[in-house]
Amino acid sequence: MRLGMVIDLKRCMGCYGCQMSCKAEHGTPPGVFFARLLKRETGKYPDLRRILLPVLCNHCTDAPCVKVCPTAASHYAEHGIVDIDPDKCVGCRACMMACPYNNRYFHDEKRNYFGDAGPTPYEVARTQRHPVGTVMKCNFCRPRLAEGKEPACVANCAARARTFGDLDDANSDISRLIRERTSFTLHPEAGTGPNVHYLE
Amino acid sequence: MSGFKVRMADSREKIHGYGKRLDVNLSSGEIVASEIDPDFARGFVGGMGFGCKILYDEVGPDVDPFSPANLVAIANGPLTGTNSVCGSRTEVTTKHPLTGHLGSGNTGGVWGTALKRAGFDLIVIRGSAVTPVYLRISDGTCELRDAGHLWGGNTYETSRTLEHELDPLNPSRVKVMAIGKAGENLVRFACAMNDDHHCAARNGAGAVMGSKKLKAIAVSGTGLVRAARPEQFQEAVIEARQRALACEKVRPQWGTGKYTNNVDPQGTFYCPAKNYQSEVNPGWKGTRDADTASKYLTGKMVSPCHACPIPCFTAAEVKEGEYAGVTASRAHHPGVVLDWGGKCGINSLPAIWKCKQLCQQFGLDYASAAGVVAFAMELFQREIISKKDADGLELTWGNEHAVMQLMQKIANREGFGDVLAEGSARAARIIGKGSEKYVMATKGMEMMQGIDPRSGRKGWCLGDLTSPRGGDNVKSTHGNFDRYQPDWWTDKFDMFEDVKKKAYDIPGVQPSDIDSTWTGKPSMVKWFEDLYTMANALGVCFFPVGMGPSMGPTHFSKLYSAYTGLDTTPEEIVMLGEKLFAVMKAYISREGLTRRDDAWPERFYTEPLPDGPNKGAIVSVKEMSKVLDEYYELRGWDKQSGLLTEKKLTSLGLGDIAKELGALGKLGA
Repeated sequence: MRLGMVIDLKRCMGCYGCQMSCKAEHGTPPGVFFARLLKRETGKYPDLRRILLPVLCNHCTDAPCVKVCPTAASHYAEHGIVDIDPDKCVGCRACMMACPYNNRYFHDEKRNYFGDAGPTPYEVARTQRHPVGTVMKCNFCRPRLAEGKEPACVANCAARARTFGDLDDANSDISRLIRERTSFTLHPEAGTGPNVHYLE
Repeated sequence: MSGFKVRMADSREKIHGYGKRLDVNLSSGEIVASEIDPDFARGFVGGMGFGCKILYDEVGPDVDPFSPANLVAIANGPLTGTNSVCGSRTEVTTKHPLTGHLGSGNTGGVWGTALKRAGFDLIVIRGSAVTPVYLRISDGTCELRDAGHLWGGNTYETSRTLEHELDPLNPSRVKVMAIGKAGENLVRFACAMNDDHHCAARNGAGAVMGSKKLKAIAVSGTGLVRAARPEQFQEAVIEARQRALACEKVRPQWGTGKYTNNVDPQGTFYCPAKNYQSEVNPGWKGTRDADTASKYLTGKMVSPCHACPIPCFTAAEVKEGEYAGVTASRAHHPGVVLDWGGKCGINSLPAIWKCKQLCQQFGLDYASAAGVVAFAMELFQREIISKKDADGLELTWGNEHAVMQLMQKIANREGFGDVLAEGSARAARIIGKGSEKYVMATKGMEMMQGIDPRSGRKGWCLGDLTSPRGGDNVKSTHGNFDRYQPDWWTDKFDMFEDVKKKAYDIPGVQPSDIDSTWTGKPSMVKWFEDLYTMANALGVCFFPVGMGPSMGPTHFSKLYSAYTGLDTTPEEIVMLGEKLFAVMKAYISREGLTRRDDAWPERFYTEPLPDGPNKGAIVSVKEMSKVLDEYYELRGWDKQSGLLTEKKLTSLGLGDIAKELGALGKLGA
């Protein structure tokens, strides 16, 4: 079983629902977004187009971050999910250097959203998962998967642009979509074998 | 501010993996980006090689360190920013305001990596700005911006302000190298701090940046760093990393931390007390040793260097008492504990860490700061200066509050601090009354890392003496290779067999006693000087090279070849190291340093150790002279004057330097 995600760019309307639900699920520090939405305009007036591209960790089959990690903190967890063991991470950031997608973040100091007012109880509860001095990233919401739920960004996608499933199963929705529609992955030249696919 | 120009690359082939060079003229505001000359890159590798060659070419003996004609060269090595073992280092080179000759310091962290990812590997800063400015570098672009609002702030504040100003959404992506109050006030041993906890110290670059009114360099980069032969490079990295980790297992944990457990009375690592007057530190155990430090550990690292598998930046936090809230990175690092705890006699770790934090905030070189404070304390002890001279401070040994106030005065150049801010050698000239005798400096820079040549490890000490920049052996023999470790000894060293034989195979001397004999030490020192020079040029930390001797020329040649695509052999790596070392030597020779300057402070030759297990030990002038003769001979330098020879320089491909030094009469026979 190899878990992956398909994002239908025709359906995505750029509502930032994925970004917000991810933030709520993981309680990441200010400025850190495991799931991000990139927006860009192309062309010249009047032929303008807005491009929306939701990005997250690609959970690569041949992940450069796992290869370079000196302490084996970055590792393949169940079903091909790439995760970080914060106990093993020494914060050297070699993985951030190696990741062609810039989807890793370093937690360099404890910050909270309301400055001197101190962290909210919610922040206290959630930020414990991200010790200071370690690198963090999307883990396909492993705790949710363990409960039989979909990742937060998939469950909360209002446009149902995201499909999550087993890429090894030819009959899964995700495999069918990739097969039937025109799909692509990001930075194929890096040879990382991303497991997040995009539908044109 | 004025514009940013990109000069087109010339037709010559670019070497893979080198970023662009930036020439910043603060006087005119002109910034030019260009490709690094491939011949220059091939000949001088990067990092320290680039810095020293540029300094040699442009800053002559007539240039005052604080004049606009001085420059600051900040150079990454080719391996900086890669995932090579400890590939994180950046060299900052300038003419040192304290010593008046070579100022070359190395820093880690992630600042250099960010610079490489932004597309640059070398920044040369010339001229001097009229009003405070900072340099903003971001993905291929560079500009000078007004730093009026940053001037006067400490390094932490400057970094926080810039991070939030330049990238409010993701401040941690901005990496800042900044100077503090000490640099602004031209304290001669001020350094530039990056990533809060890292500094390229022992070069006075902070003061030089202050004289140029350059407050900070803020970098953010998102580019990728790729080797010319990625698979081969990865293989070489994994091989080197496995060795580094295996070696780490047999040497004390936490960087070099546990050594502080060995400090007197019966240990193997002695700590000079009270400005090198003695070796006995009463009450060391329970106040300053590593076991005590362990009680404060948080279990995490603070700001470790990029790609380091053996990080030494263990974090400690003081939770209660007078210094509650003080956090320390690299809490076990013996240098800080030995300098403040030994030389100045401060007997509490939280106070020592507070001193360290003050140094980081003011942007002071902690070794020189501890050196001048210890010097002042000895003058106070001998009643050469009175309480009145010291602005009412009771400079008794271990008086931590007086030390902290004095540091504040030094950084702000107030009262007595203004005298000490000149460094101990200059301060002694101002104070007079025979105080010159108590200056513990070599080549004009305060000695650090507490090993007393009267009793210390001989390999370590000889490096102290021959180091071109003076004051320490961090660029040559700062390591463990002369301490016997049965599980990791010469059979595992990556070293040429003939050198191994000369340095370690000494008839009649057991491996465990190798650190107490001078025999073979010149070969050992020469080898590690060349290797450390190469590590500094490649942008690799010296820890896996010497502290745990796991990497050597074989690994360097593999990594360098795979990364740049230029095939090199281990022999060529050692030869390049020797060449770059000769450039440093040529620089200090042109500044007028000779064999006379390869000497320790007078105390070690005239005052036997008064107490402790090595009571009565003294350095013999005759013996040292013999050792130095052998060292110069090995290096191919002139024995009489200690100067380079034309033959040696020509054989290293430095004919132009030989010609210039010859014309100036600065060559040996």
